[in-house]
Formats: sequence, C-alpha cells, structure tokens
Amino acid sequence: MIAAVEWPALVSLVVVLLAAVVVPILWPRLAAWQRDRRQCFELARGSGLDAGETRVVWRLARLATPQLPLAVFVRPSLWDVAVARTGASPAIVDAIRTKLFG
Amino acid sequence: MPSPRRPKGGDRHSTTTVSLADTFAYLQGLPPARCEPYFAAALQEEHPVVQASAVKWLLQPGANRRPDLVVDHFAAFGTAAQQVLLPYRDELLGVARVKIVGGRDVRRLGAFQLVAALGDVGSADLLVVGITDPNVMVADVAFAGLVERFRQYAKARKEALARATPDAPATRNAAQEAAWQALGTALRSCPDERAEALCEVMFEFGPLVMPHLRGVLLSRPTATLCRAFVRSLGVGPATAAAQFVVQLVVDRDPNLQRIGQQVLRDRRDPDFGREVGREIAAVRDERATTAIRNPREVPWWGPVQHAVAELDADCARRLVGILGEVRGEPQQRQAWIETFLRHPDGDVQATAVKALHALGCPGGTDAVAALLRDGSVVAQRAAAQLVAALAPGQRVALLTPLLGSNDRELRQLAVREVSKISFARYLDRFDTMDEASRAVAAKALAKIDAQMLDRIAEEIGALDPERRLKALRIVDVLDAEKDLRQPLLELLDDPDRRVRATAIRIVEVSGSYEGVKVLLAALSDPDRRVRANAVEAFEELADPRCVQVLVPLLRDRDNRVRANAAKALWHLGWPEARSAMLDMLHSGDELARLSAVWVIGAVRFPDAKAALEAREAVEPAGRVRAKIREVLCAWSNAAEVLP
Repeated sequence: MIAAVEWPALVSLVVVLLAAVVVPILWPRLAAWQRDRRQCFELARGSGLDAGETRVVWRLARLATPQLPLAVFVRPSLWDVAVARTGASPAIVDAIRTKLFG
Repeated sequence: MPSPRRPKGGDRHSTTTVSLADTFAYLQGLPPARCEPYFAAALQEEHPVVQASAVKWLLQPGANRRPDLVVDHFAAFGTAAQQVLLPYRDELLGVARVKIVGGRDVRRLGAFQLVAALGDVGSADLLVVGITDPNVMVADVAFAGLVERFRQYAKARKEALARATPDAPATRNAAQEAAWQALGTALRSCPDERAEALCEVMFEFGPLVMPHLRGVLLSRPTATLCRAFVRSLGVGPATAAAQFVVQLVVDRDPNLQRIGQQVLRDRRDPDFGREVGREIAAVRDERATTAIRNPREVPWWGPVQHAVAELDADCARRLVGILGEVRGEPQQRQAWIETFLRHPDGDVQATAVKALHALGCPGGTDAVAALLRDGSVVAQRAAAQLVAALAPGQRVALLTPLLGSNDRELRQLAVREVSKISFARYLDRFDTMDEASRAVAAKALAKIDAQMLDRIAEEIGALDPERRLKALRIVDVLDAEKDLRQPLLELLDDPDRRVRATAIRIVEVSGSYEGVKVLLAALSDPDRRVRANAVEAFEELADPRCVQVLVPLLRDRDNRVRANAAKALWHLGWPEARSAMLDMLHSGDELARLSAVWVIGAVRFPDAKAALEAREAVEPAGRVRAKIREVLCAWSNAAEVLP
C-alpha cells in the first residue's frame, strides 16, 4: 500500500534530484551554445549573409572552432576546409568567404 | 549588432574592410576574456586585411586599447599589418622594451621581433639582451636584429668619420651611443655559436671596433670569439683584416702586437698585402710610426713585398720613405727599397732611387743600373745622379748610353758627368800636350760640355797654384776671358806670381775699378813678367789717361818691361814713344837693344826700317843683328803678300 502510494513521489524525487544534478551542468552549456549561436547569427546577418549561408557559418563554427565559434568571422583560413567540414557547396562557401573577407 | 554598411557600388576591398570593421567592433563589445582570443586569432591569421583591421581596432584610442597584444603577436604580422603599426612605433617599442627588460616573458619573441623590425640603431641595447636567450628563436631574432643595427651604425660611423674635420669631429648621437655600448656587451657576452657571425660584423666596422675588441682580446684571449677573430684575420676580407692587423701591430700591448705580427707572417694573398701597404702608408701618428719603423725584421714587409706593384703611387712613395728610416741592416733595407724600382709609376721609381741614394747603396748599384736602361725618364734622372755620386768607377760606362737619350735633362746630365771625367783627364794630360793639341782638345771639350766654363771656374778657385795656372791657360786657349771675367779678376791679386802674370795678361779690366787698382799695383810687382803683363793690360785699355802711369816704366830695370811700356805708350798716342824706342835701340845693354828691335818690329813707326837698317850696320851683337834681320824679312814678306 505504502509502496503503491510512494511510487509517484519517489519518481518525482528522483526526477527532481536528477534535474538538480543535470540542469546545473547542462544549463550553462546550453546558455553558452545559445549565446554563441545568437552572436553568430547576428554577425552573419550583419555581414550580409542570408539564412542558408548563416546556417553554413554556424555549422562550420561548431565543427572547426567549437571553443571560439566566432573565429570563423576573423580567420579566413578556416574556410579553406569548409566544404569538407560542412558538406556545403563550394559556391556557397565562396560566396560566404567573399562577403566576410573579400 | 551593427547593421551591415555595404556601400553601393563600392569596391570589393572597401566592402570587406567595412564588414571586418563591423565584426571587430562587435567583438570589442564582448567581455575582455571572450574578446581577446578572437583578436589574437585574427592577429595570427596570415591575411593582410584581417591583420591590419585587427591591429587598427586594438590600437585605436579607447578603454579597449591593447598594444601589448599587438606586440605579443608581432611575429605573425605581414607587411600590411606592419605598415599600420608605423604611427604607433614609439609606443609599441616602449611596450616591447618593458616586456624585454621585465624578464622572461613567454611572449617575448614578438617583442624582440617588433624591436628588430621597427627599432632604430639605438634599439641594439634591447636586442643585445636576447642574444643569450635560452629560446633559440628569440636569440636568433635578437642576434639578427643586432647585426643589422651594428651594420647600420658601422656605415653611419664611417660616413661621419669621413666627413669629420678637426673643427667638427664625428660625434655619436644617443642612439649610436646605445649601439656602441651594445656592441661592447655583445663582444663580452657573445655565445660561442655566434662568434663567427659577430666577427663578420666586426669586419664591417673595421678598426672602429678596436677599443671594445682590445678589451676582450686582452681579458679573454682564449674565448671562442677571440679565436674566431684571429682566424678571420687570416682569411677574412682583405681590407678590414689589414686595418685590424696594422692596428694590432702598432698597439701598445705586446700580446696584441704578437697577434698582428703572426697574421702578417702567415697571410700572403696579394689583396691583403696591398691593403696592409695602404694601411702602413696611412699611419701618421708619431707613436704608431715609430712602432712600424722599429722592429728590425719589419713584419709588415712580408705580405706587402708581393703587392708593391699594385700599390698606388702615394702609398708606394710613403712606404719607400718608411723603409728608408726603419732600423735594420742597410743592405737589407736596400733590398726592400729596390723592390719599388719595379713599380710601374716613374715617380715611385725615382723616390726609391733617391732613398737608395740617401742610403748610400751599400749593396751595389746593379738594380739602379738596370733602371738606367729601361726605367722611366724621371727615375733615370734620379738613377743617373745616384750613379754619378755613388759609382764613380762605373760612371762613364753607365752614363754614356744616356748621351743619346731623348730627354734633354737626362742627356745634359750624362754629358756633364761624362765630360767631367773627360775634363779631368784633359787636365791630367795638359802638361804633356803641345799648344796646338791643348787648343784643339779644349775646344772639342767645350763643344760637348756646356759646363766646361763652370769646371774651369772651379779650377780657378783651386788651392793648388798649378791648377789655377792651368785653368788660366785653358781660358786663354778658349778665349773665354769675358765669360770668366769675375773669377779671373780675383786672380790678378793671386799670391802666385805666375798666376798673377798670366791673369793680368788675359784679363780685360776696362770698366772695372777693382781691376785697374790691381793693375796699378802690378806695375810695381817685383816680378818682371807681372809688370810686363800689367803694361800690356794698360795698353789694352786704350785709355790715353794711362800714359802718365806708364811713362815711369820706360825707366824700368827690366828691358822687356821697358819695351812693353814703349809699345803701349806708342799705341796710346804718346809722341815721345818713338824716341824712347830709338834710345833703347842704341842702348849699351844688348838685351835692351834686343827688346828695342822687337818693339820697333811690333809698332813699325814711320822710318822704322831705316832706323833698323842703320842699327844693323853698326850692331856688334850677333843676336841683335839676327833679330833685326828677322824683323826686316817679316816686313818685306808682308809687303809682298799685301796688294
């Protein structure tokens, strides 16, 4: 009986405890990811990239320099391997590169 | 987020610049901890536009300025980024200085590179800090920059010294002073592996670096740098090596002198010899000159002797002068100087000959004789003078070929010297020749020897009266009284009576007050020949005022003097002269009658023939009669010859 009554509470407790452990770990990362993504999109828009190009930029930022995702805007050399890393078409990569660095 | 500012119709580069600028502006808005890695990444990116934009943003005024970041990443900068740095040069150098002097900053490489790239000569004092850095890259950058600064300084210093005058000596500015101090530090603390490279720099400085180098050579003679330097002296560029070596040779310290002398003994390439010769010739300091002249073995001569022909004329002449004054055996010095007889410049040859002349040619005159055959004219003149002075036995043989020289001066010199000997021989044989031979020989000599009269004048001044007498006779033969009038006038008062008499006979005294005075004195000379010649001299004056002077001599104790006086008075127009001659003709003294016949024959006054014929008829002395007959015959012969 007690067991039948306590099961939902126990599950809730576990969930709460799990959340208490996991959320503090994941939340900053998620927040950072969100921040980086936002900044990346802002910079991409500021640089005149369209939505598709912006997605390619964000993909390369996550794959090439995850610690410094905005480096794709100040390191032209990262775009040398962009086609292979992101699977984007060379035409799109060239267009992005031209818009960012000339 | 700034909106994209993409100008319509703008070019591609300006579009990119605006976009990048917006990007960096956005990044600067991030927290410093997040912003710095992005700028660092941009600075390291080998993209000129990205680097330049990043640098601009990092150096523009504001709270976010990071010149230290620019300095740290300078190593990655391309030319475009470095150009952007130029306006901030002083500030960045200040930041770099702090990093360098502050200790072992992990990012000091950029600081050294920035100093090496943007620093002036004075930045050598920063770069020298890095040459002992444990980081090889830092040490390489620092040393390369240092070497470049030293080269700049060496060039500037040489130019300044070349322009310097006693009134405006070359001074060092603050930057150059810093470089000079850095050079001293580099020499003292140079790592072994960089010694060779630093030696190359020292060779570019040349002897300017000696004050620093001297200290190192004396304090750490076994250091790698010192050994490398001495080795470089043997194989390095000839000009600088010669400058160093000469400086070492003339140094006060015997140890340094030995280093220089050793190199001089070992190195024999012609370039080095030529440069050593130039350096030795350029030495003007009295102490250094003494040091060069003093050693008996003259070590610098070793390499120089092989390059004498390559030396310019001024250097060669100077070296001849030095060799003429060095210590050592005269014969050895002659051999050294004779090397310069093969120099292509005639003036140098002549200088060498003069030095040999001053030396006295103890080793003989063979080399100079060779020069007489094939040397330049100037040298031949000097050589001829040397031969004339120092080789009397070979004078004629060596100088005779020059009688046909195209050079007038040389020809005259040869003629003078050869004829001097001929004249001496003529004097020696004078007494053994008859009058005709004397005259012919004297005239022949006078034709080839323009100095003949000088030689006769010299003989006239000789102490030996025989030589003076001989000279007077030659004057008589050559009719050179007018040319030698002054020395001959002095002989009118000669202590030797024969000389006096001859001089009075020869000399033309008209117009000379001194001469007339001497002649007047000669009229009362104890020697009859002197008196007779003096009378003849008065006759030559053709001055009627002399009559009064000569009349008393008609009563002279000597018949010849009386006869000369009568003759002179006749020619001077004294009417009583005829009676005086007739009185002598009828004198009781046979010698007086003989003189009277001679003088009547000489003057031939009217009815002289009748007077002589009358006297012949009554003359008891055979000699007198014979003389009368001789005179009469001469007159009759002359009458037949005359139309």
